[in-house]
Amino acid sequence: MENHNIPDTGILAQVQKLFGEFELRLNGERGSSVHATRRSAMQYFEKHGLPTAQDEDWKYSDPQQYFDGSKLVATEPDPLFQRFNLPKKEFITAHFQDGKFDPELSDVDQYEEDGVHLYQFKDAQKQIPELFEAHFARYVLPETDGLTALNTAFASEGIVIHVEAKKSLSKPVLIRYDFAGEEAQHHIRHLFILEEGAELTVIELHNSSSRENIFYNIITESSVGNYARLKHQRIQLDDVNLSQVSTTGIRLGEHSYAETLTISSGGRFIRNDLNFDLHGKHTEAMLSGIYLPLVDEHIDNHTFVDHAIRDGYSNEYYKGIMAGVGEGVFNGKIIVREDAQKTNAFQSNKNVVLSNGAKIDTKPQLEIFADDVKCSHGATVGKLDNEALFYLRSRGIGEREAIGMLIKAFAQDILEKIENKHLMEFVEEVIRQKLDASKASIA
Amino acid sequence: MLEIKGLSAKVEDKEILKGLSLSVQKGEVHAIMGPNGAGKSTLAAVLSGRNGYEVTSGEVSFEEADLLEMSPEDRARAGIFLAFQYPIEIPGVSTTNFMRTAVNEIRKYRGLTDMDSGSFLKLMREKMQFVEIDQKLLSRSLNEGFSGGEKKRNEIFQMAMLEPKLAILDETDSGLDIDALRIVANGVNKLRSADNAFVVITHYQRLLDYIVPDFVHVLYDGRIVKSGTKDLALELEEKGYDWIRQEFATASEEVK
Repeated sequence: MENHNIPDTGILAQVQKLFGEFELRLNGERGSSVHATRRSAMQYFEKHGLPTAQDEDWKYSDPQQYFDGSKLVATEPDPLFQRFNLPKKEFITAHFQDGKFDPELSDVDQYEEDGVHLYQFKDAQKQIPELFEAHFARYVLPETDGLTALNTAFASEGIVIHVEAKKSLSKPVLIRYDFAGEEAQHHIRHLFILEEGAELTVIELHNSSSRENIFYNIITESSVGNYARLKHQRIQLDDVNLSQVSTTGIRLGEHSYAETLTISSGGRFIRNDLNFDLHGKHTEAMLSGIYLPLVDEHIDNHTFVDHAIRDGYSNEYYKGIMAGVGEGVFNGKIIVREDAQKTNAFQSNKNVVLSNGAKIDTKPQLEIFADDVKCSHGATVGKLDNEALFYLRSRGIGEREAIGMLIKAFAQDILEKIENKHLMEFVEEVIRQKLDASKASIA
Repeated sequence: MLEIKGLSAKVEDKEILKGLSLSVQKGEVHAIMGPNGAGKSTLAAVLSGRNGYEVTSGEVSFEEADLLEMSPEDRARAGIFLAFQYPIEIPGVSTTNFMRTAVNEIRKYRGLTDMDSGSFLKLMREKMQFVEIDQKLLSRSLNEGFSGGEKKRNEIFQMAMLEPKLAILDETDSGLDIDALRIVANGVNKLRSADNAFVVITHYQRLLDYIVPDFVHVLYDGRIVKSGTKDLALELEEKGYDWIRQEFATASEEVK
């Protein structure tokens, strides 16, 4: 979308200086089409700046103050913050320490499996230039907004996974972010290319605690070839000083399948953009998620499912639990284009608001241009079921425990989608502890 | 054990209980009967601490403690159990986990440690046979998709698990066929002892063929207007509630 903000001059000058320095380090990449894409993205940013609350798509979530952390006061890190203890053997790991790929803590550089290739983002540009250029910046367009533009201009850290036709990895890939360093902005970018009939599971785990204000901006692009299958999970369990904008773009080829899971329970400001392009016949897209702003947190999920071609199926299922002064936003847009006959598109968004200070803005948006389709959507906002609460208490279960049981019951069908048992238990434990800590605000 | 003195309570500004008094001792079974709207379920709700009921006067003590000051969970921990007229379905909460939590919270209140897993499951199995409830039901979410009879049986199962001192059965017989009624009644009869007490709230005499009460009270217009033995229940069955209405109306007129 177009926006016409005048970029903040301080931010603009800072970004331009950084981009100048960045270009000097490009060496071999200079003059390539990737470099041209970066330059035009930079030009877009110079013209439009960061998105603000004046942009319809960012109405409830203004990223400016989080991006420019200089005006934010960093809070004491949560003493109870928990870090996931990684069962190494269960994943192929890519570890990003303060925004930089850490080869020591990662398997990606050494890992080999038949027909599957893993690269660092900057190596992929050199090692598979044609493939890289054919897919880079195609599924999340640089000119979507100022943040996607900035990421495109700057990102050199990330991973690229290329899965050849009918191949798959024996284990899921776990991308792990750990930010503990100085106040900064980081841009990270991943690209997954699944050829025909290929399969891949990737989990992005955001699990950092820092004393300083950190802002990071991630783009994850996936091309899911015909008959290929992708599972992409994003699990956000950051501490109070971390803010992020994560943009995921997935293009689906004929008869392909992709499912995403987005679990957000930690971070000062979280904005997730998830864009599905159902680009072939008989595609299937499953989107689920749960967001839990339980303290002073802002979590915004923007999803966009674009049924461009006929016979597509999409099912979107998001839940929200708000407590304290937590703010949730859900915006689910579905377009069924004229040619997308026989589309089935479903969307559901259920919210529970536990305290008077918490809020949720939910907006389903269906635009249907084909006439032979089945679409439905529903959004609910409510409190915890008082009858159920009384039933549990009447059996001797304390109010806090009973509230916890009901919340867990509400969240369970989403949390169960985390396939790794250790990770699921960890997520449940973090949520349980956060709920306990926010109990005072739960009415 | 339970002393109710001059209890008045209202719901949304409507006075339902109007000076009700009742005394229940250990080892006793009291039946409370009465026509619809007399205040039977309100009594159960006030005793168990449900929200939305305002006690305007009177007092209730349970084993010398002021019951009205206690939270619903503390009442349960102190030994009061309410079998719901309409048990709640709670998707996502398994019956086993629910019962384990309840049993252990009550144990904690009594200064006991958590029950170990083996003993707990043994207890579950034992009590399941007690009320002839299928294990398959208990592996599902709490009451989810249960028939009316299954829900009531689950109430009696929970009662057997928690071994309350005072159990209040709120129209547990409503919606039960004769077989389910017998099973529920058998469960109650097996739990009866010299140390506990039951308050059985019912509209019909039918249940009292199976759970034979020591006392029968007639609740009408917010207070107990008549008390007697099980013969009173039979009389009510035979004559209906009209003569109570007439007698009570006459009494009111005489007062005027």
